Amino acid sequence: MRKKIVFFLLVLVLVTVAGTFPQEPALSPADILEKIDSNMVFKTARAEIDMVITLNNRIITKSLDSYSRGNEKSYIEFLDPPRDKGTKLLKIEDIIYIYYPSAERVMRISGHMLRQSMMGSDFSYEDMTVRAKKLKEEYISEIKGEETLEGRPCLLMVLTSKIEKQTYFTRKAWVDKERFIVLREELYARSGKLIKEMAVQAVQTYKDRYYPTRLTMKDKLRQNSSTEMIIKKIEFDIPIPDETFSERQLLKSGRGLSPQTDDTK
Amino acid sequence: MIGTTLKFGWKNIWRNKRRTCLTISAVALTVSSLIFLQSYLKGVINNSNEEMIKTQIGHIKIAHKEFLRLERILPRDYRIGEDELSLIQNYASRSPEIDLLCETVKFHVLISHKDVNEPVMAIGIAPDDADKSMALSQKIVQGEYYNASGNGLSLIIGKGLAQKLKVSVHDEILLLTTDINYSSYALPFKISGIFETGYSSMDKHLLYLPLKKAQEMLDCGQTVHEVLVFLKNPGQAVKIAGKIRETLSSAQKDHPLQAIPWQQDDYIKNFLPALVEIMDAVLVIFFIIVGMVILNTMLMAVMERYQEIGVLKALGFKDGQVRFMVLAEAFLIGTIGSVIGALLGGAISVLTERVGIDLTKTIGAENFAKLDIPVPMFGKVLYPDFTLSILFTSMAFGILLAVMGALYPALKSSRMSPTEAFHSELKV
Repeated sequence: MRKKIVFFLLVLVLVTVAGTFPQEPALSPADILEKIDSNMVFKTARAEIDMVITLNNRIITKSLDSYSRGNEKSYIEFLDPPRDKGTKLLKIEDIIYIYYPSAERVMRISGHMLRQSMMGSDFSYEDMTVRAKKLKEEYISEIKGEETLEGRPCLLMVLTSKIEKQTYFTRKAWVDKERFIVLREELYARSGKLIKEMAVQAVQTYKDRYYPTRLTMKDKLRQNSSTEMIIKKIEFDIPIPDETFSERQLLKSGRGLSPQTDDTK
Repeated sequence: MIGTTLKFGWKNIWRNKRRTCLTISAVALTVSSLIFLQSYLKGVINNSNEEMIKTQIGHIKIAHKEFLRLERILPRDYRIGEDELSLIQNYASRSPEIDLLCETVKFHVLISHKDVNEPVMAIGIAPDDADKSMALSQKIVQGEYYNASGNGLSLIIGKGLAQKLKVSVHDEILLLTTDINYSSYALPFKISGIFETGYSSMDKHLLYLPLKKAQEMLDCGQTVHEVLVFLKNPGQAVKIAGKIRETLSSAQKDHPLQAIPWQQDDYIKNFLPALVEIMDAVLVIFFIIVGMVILNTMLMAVMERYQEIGVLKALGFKDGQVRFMVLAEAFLIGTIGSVIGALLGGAISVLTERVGIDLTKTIGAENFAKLDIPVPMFGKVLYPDFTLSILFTSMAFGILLAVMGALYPALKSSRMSPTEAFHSELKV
């Protein structure tokens, strides 16, 4: 009997003590987006990436180096396969300049063309060059529930764009509750049509952030197609010279701009 | 007796010249417009058919079955292999029935000039062969067909596309495509010529480049997407297609290629009949309208004369004689009207068949440009197709309707007593 009383008092004390500590308040949807952004948004990043494209049972691997300064500037250089080697992309604000070594010319694309497949992959030019998007600034979010995804507890969130002309107007995201990384995402057009599906296979820790290093994108408008992006190496917030994001860099191994591309400067 | 009544009817129709002329004019006008409309619609179908055979179907089309199934999206992966192509070429060289082989590579490209990018369809062709089948060099309106002395980096583009890109001959453009290994590949080209097929959709969305450059862009070696076979006698297409299939099967039992004679092509077999049905429906509606015009005119022309018929009956004309006289009059009017209409309609049809009808002038260049139909259907200049069978059927229709229009009043007037006929005033 005495043992029971002691146990009861002990439990009472523990409960009382626990109650005296302040409980962490539940995060609001906006706070969650902010936490996701703190993982995904960077000032600068340099990455070595492999893209494994699976299309109609064929597998094609492309290697590239990517340099980004926020969302504004991005530079990508393809290293492999040989047909792609030397193809370079330079994104400055909303315009992408692409240098093709076979033509030794630069093509400028903008507008809806940015939504086209990049080098035959399931990623668009926009997907690959705007990787530091601040979700909190561009989307309103709400939590729809909780689910477990491959053993990890996730919040199921629906993000609706504040911007009319957003490519992915609605995003259905499964957010890792502990690491605040989107582990799975369905991307919808304004019409409600599912455009793409993304799933993360691996996440790594980099100093103060988590970052997905292996993910698969499926363009739902293409049949039997998926692209796996493997980030072999990534460095954040390192100094990248301005020269990297210049047309001179784009044309470094080329023979110069053709007359019609001069005005792309 | 019949001769007398016929003579009487002939005299009768000229007693009221104004009325007769009016009725004859109505019949003539309807018969002539019927002839022209039939010639015009037949021309649309024939032009479309011919142009499809020349540019897209050939007399026999050989391609991978999956390419044919997904042709709309031009899948790069389904091609005719080099070995299969050799078999086809060898067979063609041995077959006197085959006039020409036209090998093509078809793919989507992005054409770029300065800041303007346009997605278009590129067709890689062997310039000489394509010219023989499509007469492309005759469609060049600016510049020249392929420059033989060039390095192969020249191409020809449609007039509508040139206008969209704001380019002219000798301008440099950039072509970009995704090759068979999903690599992006670009090449610069000089525009050697601008063509105008007269088909708005083709002129806005099409360019032709040398076959070898197309194969380089796609990185597909010597393979092609299609081989169009042109025969000396198109009527042999089914037989020759069968022989080509046999040749291919003898080398590889389960080869994936199909050889389709033009008669079995989807466009000719399914789309064209549907188009003919629509046009037939238009024709039937027109027939009904013109039929009503003739019927009404004849009806009025006879009913106006009830009192006159009453006099004839009082003079001893029998019912049958009255009926015969009225129908004979209608027959004569119908015949005269139909002959005049046939001459008029025939002349207009023959004339327009020779000079053509320029749609950019009749409906306006802007409206024509909006006719963005993916098959060559409404060319800039349409040539009606006039035949004697159209002329005779339209004439027969005019005469028949004139007689039918007089049938009811003839029956009614023949049954009336002279007193009734005297008192009738355009009452049915």
